[in-house]
Amino acid sequence: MPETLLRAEGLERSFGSGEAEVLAVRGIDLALESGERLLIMGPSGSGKTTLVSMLGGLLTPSAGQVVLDGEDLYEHDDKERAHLRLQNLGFVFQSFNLLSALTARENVEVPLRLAGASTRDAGSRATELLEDVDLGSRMDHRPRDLSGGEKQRVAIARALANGPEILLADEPTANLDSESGREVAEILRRLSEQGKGVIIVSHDQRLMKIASRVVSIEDGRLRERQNQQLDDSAEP
Amino acid sequence: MFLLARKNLLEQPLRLAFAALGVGLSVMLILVMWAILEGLLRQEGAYVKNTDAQVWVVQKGFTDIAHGFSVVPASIKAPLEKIPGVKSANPITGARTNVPTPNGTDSLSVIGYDTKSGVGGPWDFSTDPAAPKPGQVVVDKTFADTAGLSVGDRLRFPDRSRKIVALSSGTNQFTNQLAFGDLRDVQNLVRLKGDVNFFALQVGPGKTHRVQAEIRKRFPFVTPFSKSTFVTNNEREIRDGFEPILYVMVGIAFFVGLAIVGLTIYTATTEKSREYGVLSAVGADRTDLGGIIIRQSTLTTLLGFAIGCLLLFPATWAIGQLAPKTELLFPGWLFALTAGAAIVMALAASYLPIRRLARLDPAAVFRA
Repeated sequence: MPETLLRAEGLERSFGSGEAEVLAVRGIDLALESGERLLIMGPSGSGKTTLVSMLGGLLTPSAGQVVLDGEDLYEHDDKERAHLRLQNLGFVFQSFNLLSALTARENVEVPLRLAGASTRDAGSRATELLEDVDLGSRMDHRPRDLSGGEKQRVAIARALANGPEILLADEPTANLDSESGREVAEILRRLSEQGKGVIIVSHDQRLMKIASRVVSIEDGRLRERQNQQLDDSAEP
Repeated sequence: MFLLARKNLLEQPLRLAFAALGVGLSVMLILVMWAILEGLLRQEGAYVKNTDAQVWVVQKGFTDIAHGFSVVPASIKAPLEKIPGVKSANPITGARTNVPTPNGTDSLSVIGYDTKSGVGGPWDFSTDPAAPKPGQVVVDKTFADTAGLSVGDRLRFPDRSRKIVALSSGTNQFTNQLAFGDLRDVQNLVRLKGDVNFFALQVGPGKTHRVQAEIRKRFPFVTPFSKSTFVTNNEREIRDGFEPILYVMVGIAFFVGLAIVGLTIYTATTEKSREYGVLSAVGADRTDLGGIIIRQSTLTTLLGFAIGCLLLFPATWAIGQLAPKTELLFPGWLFALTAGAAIVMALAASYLPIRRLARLDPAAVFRA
């Protein structure tokens, strides 16, 4: 029985004030269930990034709430919200956002160390996660020595470090070639099959193949879409 | 997050090296300036500290050896020795005079003392010890070295030449090196017949205050100082003259170091602001981010501190070559104090980068 992992209610966000005020996200209601792969599609400037930032606890909404574990994320202060992100949310970014000074393994260790894991525990957990994404032989390489696909797999391993239930992926395939994009999509699908809820924000049509639900956002409003390619067994 | 702090710094090794070298120069300057003051204080107070006398009797109105020319009648020796508690009253006289040397002309403070009691004479020798007879002197080793003199050479004083019979150690007073001669011989040199400059009194244990009170009562034209007060009086000249300058120089050195670390860490933080945003997004709070900045700053300053300590070797060598009469003294507490200043430097240098991180928008990491 799937459970609701994340719920957004009446989410709004405006920028600027007075005549210059722009409403980027307007009254969005959204729920993510365990095992679900929710694809949010939309053109540039449609409000995708604003929406995912609010869902990830990184941008305070002008109105509405984001409920995680029965609590409104934004009722917590910055420090508590950082802790909630650390424990419950994993982020995958379009430009990977790995820390350039650290090796792949050390990048994965970062959230573990932030959560208080010992050096040894963090090291062994990072090794395990990198082996899961087939990077066992590349874990001592720094980001500059990794391909785009490898970097994104490191980013996924980092997102999974503290075992979050929810993964937020912003354009995870945008900077990848088709083969690497397919690998990343496959990993995301595998994760949702393990019970994680995955929110993917993208305009990459190929990701529709792995999505279990597709919504589109236009002018800050969300619209449920019929996924013509919805087929969990289909190859991404 | 120590690892990240360390690796962030090592990612730009040249910048780290420049920053650490800058801090090192600042630390070295602080240490050297302070060591000069400590050396001066030790040099200035050394004569009184090392003379085996507990009470110093000087002409009323005079407070120390360096300022003015205290004159007290030599005839009060016997009455002073009659005061209960006084074991001996030892006359000391001296004057600063120029003497020609193989390397030019140099000034020397000649002290005449009673060679029988030895009180007021040299307390340490770099050659075989000797008590100077009339026509002989013991000369400070630093003076002899810089003037190109050694034992057996003769030194021409205004009245006559005297033979160097030994070299003393610890008697270099920065601008003033000491030489020691027989009391009467030096009295002839300074033409101070019937008078001396000071009396150094040896008194029994616990009798100092009583002896001072008795001297004040019996001899209103003199002032009796305890040894510690007389040492302080002599050091005050250095403190009054050099300490304010020292504090300004040390302050400048500190702020130069602070500016170097501050700018380095601020630049590094600005360059990596996106990565700090990523850290914030994945769950680092402000304390975590501030901790990384403080660690980077502390590592840089501690590395700078170590470099500063290493730079002391060439710096002290260079000072020894250029100003051989300058004594540098590095007490252990000076290193502890400077290390503490380096930590303060690191914390202060972290302030602006941490403030910058506080304004960081973690949602910016979603922008490609």
